[in-house]
Amino acid sequence: MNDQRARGHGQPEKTEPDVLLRVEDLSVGYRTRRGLMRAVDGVSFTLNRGRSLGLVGESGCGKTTVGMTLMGLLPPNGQVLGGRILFRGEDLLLKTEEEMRRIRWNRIAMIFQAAMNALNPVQRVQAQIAEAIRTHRPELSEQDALKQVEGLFQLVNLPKNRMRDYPHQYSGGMKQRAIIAMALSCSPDLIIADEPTTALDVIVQHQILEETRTLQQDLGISILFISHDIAIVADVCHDIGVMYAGQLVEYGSREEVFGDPGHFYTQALLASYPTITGEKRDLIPIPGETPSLVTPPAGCRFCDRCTAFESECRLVTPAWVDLSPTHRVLCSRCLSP
Amino acid sequence: MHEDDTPILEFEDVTKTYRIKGSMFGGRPAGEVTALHRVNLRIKRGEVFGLVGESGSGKTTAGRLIVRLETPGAGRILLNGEEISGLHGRRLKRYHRQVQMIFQDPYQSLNPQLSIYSSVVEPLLIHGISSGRDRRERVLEMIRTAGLSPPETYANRYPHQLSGGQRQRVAIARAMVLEPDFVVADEPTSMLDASYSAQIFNIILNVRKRFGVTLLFITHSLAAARYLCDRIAVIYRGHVMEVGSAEEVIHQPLHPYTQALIDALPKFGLTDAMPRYNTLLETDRDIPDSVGCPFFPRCRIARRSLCSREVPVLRPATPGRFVACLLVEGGAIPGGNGH
Repeated sequence: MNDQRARGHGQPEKTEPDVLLRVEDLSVGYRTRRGLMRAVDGVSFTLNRGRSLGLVGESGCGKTTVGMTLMGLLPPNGQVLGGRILFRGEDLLLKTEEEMRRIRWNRIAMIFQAAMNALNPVQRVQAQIAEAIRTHRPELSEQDALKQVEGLFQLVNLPKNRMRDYPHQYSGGMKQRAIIAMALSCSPDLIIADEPTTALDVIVQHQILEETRTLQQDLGISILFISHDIAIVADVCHDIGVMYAGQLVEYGSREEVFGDPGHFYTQALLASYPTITGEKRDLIPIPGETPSLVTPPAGCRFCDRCTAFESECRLVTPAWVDLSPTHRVLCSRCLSP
Repeated sequence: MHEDDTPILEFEDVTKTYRIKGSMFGGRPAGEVTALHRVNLRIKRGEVFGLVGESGSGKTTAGRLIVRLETPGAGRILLNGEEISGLHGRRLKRYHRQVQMIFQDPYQSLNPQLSIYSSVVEPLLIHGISSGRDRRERVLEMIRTAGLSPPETYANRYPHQLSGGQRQRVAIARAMVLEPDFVVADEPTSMLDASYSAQIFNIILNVRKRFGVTLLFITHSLAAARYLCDRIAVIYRGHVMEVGSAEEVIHQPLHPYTQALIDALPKFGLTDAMPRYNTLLETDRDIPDSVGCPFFPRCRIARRSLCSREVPVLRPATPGRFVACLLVEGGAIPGGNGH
């Protein structure tokens, strides 16, 4: 919510107890045969304690790369090109692998896409979660770890009498809850969930999202929720960041971004979703395709597909415009109220 | 004017079961899975009919039965009043000209070694339709109709040069090049982002308007079905639970499962926009292999004495509306969440 400072105007580091995560001007690239692909370009945002942020955007926008970079889990051809990731005041990009290993799970847990398929099929669910607990807290006995597993099952609405089952005996929704239990097992400050409900049916997805929101509120955990589906994050997250072609293009509270979207991409994205509420209206697709990130266009990356396009959009690097103290848009043509 | 009210496609009491082999490691006993249970559907000529269900509902199986990738275990499927399982030889070939399919996965449905032109012309070659310049015109025109313009540019490309959304457009062009009477679109956009899905939806509507083709749109998304479809059927675990016009089913759902689906849809922050039906139990009832209604284990308003014993049959509720629910009488659930 402190977006003025999120843009990194070089102010000194004050202790801000409320700010759990501050990402400043983060740029990440992948080395490919065609050259360096700038997957993330100058992304900045903050996430306060006890808040949830939805990072949304379509395939290739860079949101997953942001999540992976936060965890220090970029693939070998990925490299951080610039910026800082301040977690509890410390820059994660300066940490050694050993230090990151200790931060993972204890401080930051991640739920990957289709993580439920990563459950070990030949190990009982309770054993897997207990193992995760004891890896990071070796001082605990097996018995104590299992006791914790019991508590976690209750927390995520899994029946205790299913603790000794194997993953294949679980439904999709139950597996996902087991994954969430594992993520919560070391009481992290932050959970990064990347498309956690993609493989689930509509009804189960809704249940898991509701449960996640309740957990988030009750436990005061911060969540970074990454999704291509803006509809999902609408119901779950306090704040929304919209990404397009490697850049953050809009940031604000859920009410602001959905109620009064500022960026033409956000507006276009919302207009392309069929809804069941309200009057039936024409779906307006966004023409064209996303630009190349190996040779990104100068100026605005969305201008070729934008309804408000003007010639200067192609040449001028767009600047951030504040629509309110908590709502900002990356657009040269956007008008402040 | 004579009105032909033979439905163009009909499912008559269609049942399809699969045998599953047991697992050596004791996880699953051998047995049967019922993908479709006594399904009855009548699709009208020229309409876009939606089959809405989650995974395991049998919706994809229904699509595969229509294009004869599978055969029903019981019951009949009829095209223009003629049973399709008996067809062979020339009549079967004609059937394949009349009925086409668009698959879900844009990365699997096109032969990577064929140019776009070759992929789209292939059905014309197989059926010996058209020739020479005429054939070429027809292919290019269909590529353009599918939203790939200028068609000559795209015709020379290969699948790997196209995005997922573009590939699906090629799939539409190929399905339509024979100008079939009936097209099954099996989740054509579930692997695409929202903005590309919207493009595909509009192309489908365009194609329908232009060619008058009848479409079966298989989807898990009620919202997409609302946008595209004239009528929809909601299917759960192989049973059709509700049929009606898209607007009616969504705004006045009769079946508790449909109501649960609607409750589960994202509301874009507008939580007061739709009524909450609350027909879903928080935890399922533990009923091993129940014989009654497939929705009974999760249904909050079910009556055990009735619903766990009897299988509901699709019955008319109000004109044009059908529901398969033992508790429904005259268009509303007595004592349930009325509207």
